[in-house]
Amino acid sequence: MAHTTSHKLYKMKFLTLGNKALDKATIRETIRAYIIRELIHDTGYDLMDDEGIITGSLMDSFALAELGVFIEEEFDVYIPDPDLTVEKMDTLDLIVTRVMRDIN
Amino acid sequence: MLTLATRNDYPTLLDAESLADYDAIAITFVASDQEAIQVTRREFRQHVLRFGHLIAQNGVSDGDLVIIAHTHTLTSIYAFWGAMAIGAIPSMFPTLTEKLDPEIYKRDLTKLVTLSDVKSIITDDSFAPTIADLPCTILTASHLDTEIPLAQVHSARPDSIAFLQHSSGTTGLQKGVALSHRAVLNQLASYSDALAISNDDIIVSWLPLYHDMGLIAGFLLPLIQGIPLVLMSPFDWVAHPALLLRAIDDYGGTLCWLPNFAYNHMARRIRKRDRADFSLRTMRAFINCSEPVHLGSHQAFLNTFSTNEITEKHFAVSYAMAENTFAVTQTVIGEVAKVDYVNQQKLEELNTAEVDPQGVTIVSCGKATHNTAIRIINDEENDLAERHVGEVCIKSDCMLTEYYNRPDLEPFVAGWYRTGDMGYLADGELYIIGRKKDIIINAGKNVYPQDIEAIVNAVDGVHRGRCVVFGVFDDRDGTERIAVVAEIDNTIAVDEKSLKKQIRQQIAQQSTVTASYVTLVDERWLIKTSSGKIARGANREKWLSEFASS
Repeated sequence: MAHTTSHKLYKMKFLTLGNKALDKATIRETIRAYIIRELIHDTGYDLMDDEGIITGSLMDSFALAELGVFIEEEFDVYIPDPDLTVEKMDTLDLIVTRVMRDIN
Repeated sequence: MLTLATRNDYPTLLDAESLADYDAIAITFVASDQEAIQVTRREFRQHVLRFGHLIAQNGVSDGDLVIIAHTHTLTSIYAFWGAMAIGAIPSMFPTLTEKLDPEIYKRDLTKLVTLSDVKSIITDDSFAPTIADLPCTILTASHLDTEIPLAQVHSARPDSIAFLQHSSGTTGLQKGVALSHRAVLNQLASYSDALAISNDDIIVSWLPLYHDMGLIAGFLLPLIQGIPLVLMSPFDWVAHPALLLRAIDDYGGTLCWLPNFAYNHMARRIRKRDRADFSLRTMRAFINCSEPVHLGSHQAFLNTFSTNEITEKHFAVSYAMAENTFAVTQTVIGEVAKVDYVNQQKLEELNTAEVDPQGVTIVSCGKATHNTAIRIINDEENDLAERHVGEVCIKSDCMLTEYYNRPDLEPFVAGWYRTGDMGYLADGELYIIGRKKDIIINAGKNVYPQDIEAIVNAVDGVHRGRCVVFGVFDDRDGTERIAVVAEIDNTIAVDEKSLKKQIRQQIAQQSTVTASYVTLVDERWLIKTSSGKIARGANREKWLSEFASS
């Protein structure tokens, strides 16, 4: 058990894709910047971690599919369709947690 | 099958294959989160007639209006046919989505009940209590029990109203397009001829049933013709676009109708892993319809899916509208749709479509179907020659009978229906240029800017009457996105972030669309016309030059 945890931590800290360290904070900021730029179209928007992106009417459900493509391309993580739902992907916190699950 | 030759064998929609009693698959319902459900024709008939009995038992009879305000499931389909089978007039109402405010949805339903004298609403169990106080019968599938007998199929008259089609938005609700059995069968016979429909066809659709393309091409056509329909929820498809292409591969789909944006959506938003393992080789055509057709959208789709056995011969185009039941034109299936190259300056300044190899591309919508005639007229209502742009007018044997309960609205001028679309004819093929009136076509939906402006004007912090809504075409998405520009009310303290959010939320909750761009501007930014109205076109140009590049 202890071994698994430290292995996970190791992966979390050092797993890289290109030159970018894939730690949780980087993933969070990469996705936040993407959502603000490409999905909300308002670079001045201050998107909160727990803000409902779809339920808060910032983007429509087309964006879920777009997010799925972005996450696959950027982090090489494939989120299966049953997880790519408004309920499971509505906030930055939920999205980051889901991406981290597969990176770990 | 229903063909031009056999047309007279089918007096009404209830005489065709729709309610046949045998074991072939009628509908396969696929979803991203559950196994596919298959329904045979026999089961379909039983579900429909049970629903019909339930509806009749609750006081609905011949000629009564029944609204189906239900999530996009098999239940909504059974309810629609059940109502039609007992001689009532069904109409599919847009679905209550997560983003819509249920109270506002109820307000729209209430308006429809009052305007159109609705006898019954069929809805989901979860929504039924919200509308329990409306002056009509509210029914849900939970009222069905297995012991309920099958209704007797009504013997309709060919000229009876079979169903209504409503378009979305405040304006759309006020104009229910009433279609007779005769008109719908004439449309299906002539459109099947244009498509060369055969028993080998399998139609795959994600389209909403409250939209003419979904209702006619993606629903009635296969059920009436006795060919299989593979259906999914539009909400499921929007979030999981690969579902449609997987369904084509799994079930051997041959025909599929898509609004223009759908080509871009699938080209851009299907993941690599989802693209790897399917073939579209069984397809005869993807038919682009209900939005202006962009060659770039076809090319994007072709580039992404050429390894999945798609070629340019798979791209067909149709021009259609609810008032003609559906199709007005269709390109030849299996042939590359013609592309016209015309001089843009002459098009804009002289309203002529002069051939210019360096000019703008316009994709043909094909020739008129067998039973429909097209005229292009100018403002003085004179016929125009080929390659002259004017308003498209149509006449056919499959047109609406009337706008339901609206004797004040006359749809025809001397037998012709004026579509409000601008276009030209060349070699007998129709090319559409745009709309006569301001209308935004966002992801296949007709959006009246004034409906959205009314919503924005009611938001606290917006200077009353000082906002404008317009469409901005997005090449990547192949559709118009919705832009809002509002002047801030300087008489009160306004937090701009929360005001922008309020505007987005109110639009989402009160309409079927989401705003893509919300821009707040200072007082007197907006340009007004000499008569004091907000000048939509001029403000759009101003916004594009000041904000669009940032």
